[in-house]
Amino acid sequence: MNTVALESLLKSQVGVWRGSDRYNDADSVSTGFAALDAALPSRGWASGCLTELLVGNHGIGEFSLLLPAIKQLTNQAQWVALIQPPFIPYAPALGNAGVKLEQLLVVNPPDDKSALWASEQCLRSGVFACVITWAQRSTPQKQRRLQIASETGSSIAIMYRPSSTRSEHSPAALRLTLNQNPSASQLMLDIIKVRNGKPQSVELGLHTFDQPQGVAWPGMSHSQTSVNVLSLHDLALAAVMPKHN
Amino acid sequence: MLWAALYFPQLPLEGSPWGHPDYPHPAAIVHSVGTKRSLVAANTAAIKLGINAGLPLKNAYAVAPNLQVQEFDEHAQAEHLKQLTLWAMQYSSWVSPEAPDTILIEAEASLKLFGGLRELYRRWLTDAARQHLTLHIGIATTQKAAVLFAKAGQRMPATDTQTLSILLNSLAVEHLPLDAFVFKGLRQSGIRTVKQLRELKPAALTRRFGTHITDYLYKLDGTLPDPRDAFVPPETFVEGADLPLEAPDTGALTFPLNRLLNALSGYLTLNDLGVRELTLRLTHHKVEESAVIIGFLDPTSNRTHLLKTAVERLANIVLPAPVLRITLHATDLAPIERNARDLFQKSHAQAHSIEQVMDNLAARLGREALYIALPDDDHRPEKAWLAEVLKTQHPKFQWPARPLWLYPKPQEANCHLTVISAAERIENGWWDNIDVRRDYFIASDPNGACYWVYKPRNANNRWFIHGIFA
Repeated sequence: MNTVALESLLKSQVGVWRGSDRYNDADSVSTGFAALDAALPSRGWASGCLTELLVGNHGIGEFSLLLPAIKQLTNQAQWVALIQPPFIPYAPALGNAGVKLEQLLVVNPPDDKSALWASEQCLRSGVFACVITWAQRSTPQKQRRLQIASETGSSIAIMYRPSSTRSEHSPAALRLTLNQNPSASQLMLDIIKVRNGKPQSVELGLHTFDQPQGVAWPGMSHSQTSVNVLSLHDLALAAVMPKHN
Repeated sequence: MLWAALYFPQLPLEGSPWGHPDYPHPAAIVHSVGTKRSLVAANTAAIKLGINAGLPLKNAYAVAPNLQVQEFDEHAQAEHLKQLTLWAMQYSSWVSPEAPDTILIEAEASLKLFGGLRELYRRWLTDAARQHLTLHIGIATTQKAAVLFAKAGQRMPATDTQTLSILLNSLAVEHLPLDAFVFKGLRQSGIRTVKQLRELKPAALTRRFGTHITDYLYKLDGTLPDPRDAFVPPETFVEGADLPLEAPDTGALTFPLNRLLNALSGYLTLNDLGVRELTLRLTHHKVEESAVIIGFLDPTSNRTHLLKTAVERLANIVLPAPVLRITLHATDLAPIERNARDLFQKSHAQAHSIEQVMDNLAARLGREALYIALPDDDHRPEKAWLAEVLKTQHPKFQWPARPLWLYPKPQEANCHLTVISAAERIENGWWDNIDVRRDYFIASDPNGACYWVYKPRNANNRWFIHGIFA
């Protein structure tokens, strides 16, 4: 019997309750990447769930990954909070991506403790559709609090953590590690934990980021256009386009 | 007219944390008349030991040698009663404090607004419980009877003259606020109940005890009018509370602050105002007084929100010295906007507003920790964004490729980077001392991360990283 027929048979039975349905009905916002949506049981970033993104180093498209969702939410007049971002979220780039900046609150707490507190406050209030937090240190207890707060406020909780925390226990509903494959210009997402789903890997070509960014993703252009690839030191010696205004 | 008397029997004690029902140690407030010292109020722990109000202090010490005692402070109690009057003003336009421990409220005009006497009753009791106050309520058609019922514990409301008469008659004569001489006379004449007293000939009563007692009886049943002025709320809200025990840290300020904010919330509701800025002045022992300013983005009169924000703000403050007294001054008031709710709003309709959440965050983290980044019309990267809080209008620009992350300060590049884009020259700002003349490139490192780097035009061999394409 094929699985499609089995699915429809199970769905037609009123008395059959399947655990995997439990979270699939939850509100979610499409990630904007079809391949990633397909791999997640909630078909997007789920509200009322804590999602952990484990990132080794910056500059691999880790934040662009969320741009489509941020764009969608802010343009629906929903609030999104960025708590303790590692750098200044640069307004021109966010504007290029179509994010409605008036709906994006940036919070710069002095330390991780305050960041987690602020995150919990924002999640619990129910005002924010999505709360994105960066923190170096946390504990399973604190993560659990965030998970509960996101359930209370039915908000999407997303947290960036260092990839070294991969082996730590976490109550998050979804955990992904993000790595870049430099040769293939791909962002590799490993789903290491997912409620009601299968851990698997998803590869997103960096060209898929062009759309959300509003401009071409810088990393890929060199393979197509004919810009000289030079090392900085070589370039430093060359005179760079002397131009006078 | 229907009068409600709100009687706070434990008021002398309930201005201090001792009055809290969970306070573990027996404590009492003592009043000295001449050399005689007796208790005016005892807390729950003391009452459990059999120590009640009215007991001489000597006897109380005999029962509980560890009894904590404080002198009765008439001024502090009058202040507290005034604050309770302000709180009560949200329920009626006619409120009057009756010293030392009762508030009179004209309730008839408020019945419809609040959905009946039962609902008003419930609200008063929950409000009082929230402030940890013991409350007895008496309701009658005359002021004197309402006060009498509240103090005598007569809970039946006398909503008409007939009921009033029946309820009055059932009371024992001891509950009347008469002096000892009159009580003695009545006892000797065998008069035990108010019924018997009212059956006496008024002329005989006056001859024996003076006009005072007949006047009182006539005002009690409404035969004589009993005019009285309503409390007029002040133009500005400045209320203070003495701390019976010095507060060593800000945590101990929550209790008196709660009381002041309750008064403030009543005052604001009455005037249809919201508060935008509160100044909390702290009077210290020996050190000069300090002030804490609590700001609100949107004018608010919500008691819970006020308290939450204030407590969060105080949690950050290190006191220069223990606090003796706090004074709350509403320094910036504004008319409150009652915004109409959307009937079909989404069900998880926000219990909070964005302003409330931001106030709450700002109270702990500081206002400057929150901002909304908006692009600004300037080509210099440092100047191309603006930090704003809740500004709705902003111009739209389309920029060339820009990194999502900008470094707060450009950093000199010391790793091996590969340039992967053409130069973009940015030259601007000679007019305001932030002179920018740079060639910007996109460069990637061996791991594949992309950076936004620049080379200052006057320093050929130095490269700076200004952002990351995240």
